[in-house]
Amino acid sequence: MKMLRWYFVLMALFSNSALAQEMATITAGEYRPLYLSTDSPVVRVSSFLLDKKPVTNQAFQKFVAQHTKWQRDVAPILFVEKNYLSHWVKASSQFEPNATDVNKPVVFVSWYAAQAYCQAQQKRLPTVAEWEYVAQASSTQKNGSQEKGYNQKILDWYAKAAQQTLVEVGEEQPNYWGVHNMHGLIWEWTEDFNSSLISGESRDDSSVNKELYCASGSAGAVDPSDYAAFMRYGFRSSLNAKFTLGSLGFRCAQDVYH
Amino acid sequence: MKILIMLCVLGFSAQSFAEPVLPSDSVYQVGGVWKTQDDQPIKLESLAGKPQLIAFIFTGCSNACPVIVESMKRIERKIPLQKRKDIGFVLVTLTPELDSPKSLKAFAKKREISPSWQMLRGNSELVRTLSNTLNGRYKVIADDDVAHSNTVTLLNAEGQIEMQASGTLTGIKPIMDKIERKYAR
Repeated sequence: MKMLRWYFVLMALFSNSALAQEMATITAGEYRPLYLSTDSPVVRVSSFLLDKKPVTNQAFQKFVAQHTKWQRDVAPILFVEKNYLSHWVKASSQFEPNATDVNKPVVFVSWYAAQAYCQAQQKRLPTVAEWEYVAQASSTQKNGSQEKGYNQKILDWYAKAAQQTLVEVGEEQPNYWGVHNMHGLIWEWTEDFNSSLISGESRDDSSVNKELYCASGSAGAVDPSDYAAFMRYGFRSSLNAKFTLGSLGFRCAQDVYH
Repeated sequence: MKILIMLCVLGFSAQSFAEPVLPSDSVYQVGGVWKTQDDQPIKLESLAGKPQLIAFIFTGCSNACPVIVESMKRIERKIPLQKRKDIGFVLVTLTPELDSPKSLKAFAKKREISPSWQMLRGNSELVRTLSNTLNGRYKVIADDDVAHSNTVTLLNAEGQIEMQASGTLTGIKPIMDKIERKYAR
């Protein structure tokens, strides 16, 4: 009986490893969110692991096959918009990605679906702070945001119209951490995507919110030239957890002492 | 062995019988095992069956939460005593790690909350998920302060959002009026 149990554990490990994501170890550091003023405390990011690449259509298809609740025509409308996985095509019995899309990042997924995927791998979505901390690395430095051309490169991507066809994950040069595609491919879900700017409805009642708001003007920000990050904060706070967009995917994170 | 099989079959059928099919947009789709202020496990789906008034709080909260609670209590007072069991009152903590059953109970006592109210604790993923389905936003700030939206939600018996309002004493009026009308007869 015990042997049998081990057999199943091993089987589970092997079947997952086929598509298991390689993760980069991100060592702890500090990060100063843009909406806080220059004299505000920095946010400390603990060490964590982050998927090196965004989750692909293929990996998500495998998840959906095992967790049928998340199939395109099954997922509760509480959790997904109508165009959830709308780029997938009807195969024999289920929807699946086009053969040309398997290694492209999965998009048209909601925050709920992304969270469920990560949980199924014993992972979680990265926080905004974790994501931004990794995103500010250039190919050679932990904090590349002061590097010449760094911001321009990101802004050039933001200036482009949303791409009709995405490219495969991992094609861009990795950053300092060995992480690919933080910029230039898709937008990504984060665990607390909607908490960077608390909505107006609560402004009257919470002193904390007021401070957030007062400091959110660009004049008091740490680096007003980092327009790209402002755009990300703006984009994130415009999202609703059930949104499914053609340019929005995700990757997973994990605690180091998992 | 036969008895064991019988038990299994009975258990299974009882379970499938007990779980109603929730609408696709029911907030109770979030599921998960939560804990009450008595540290008892509770399934979110078990809130189905009657309307529920639900809001997010945390016990260390000194500004918004007492107002939210007071707003909900005012609604409760509008309901005739014998009808009060027909609608549930639920507070969900945004800081489950800090809000032990003991501190939830202390909060309830301090705010003179009826013991019939349910105070729910979930893990942080569940709380974030439930908050998102109720269009809530919150951020845990250093020193355990939380910036959060003060929305109060009225769920129907199946867990669908019937109405949402700000939890201020004036903002709560639409929900209060609705409930007052409902029980006026």
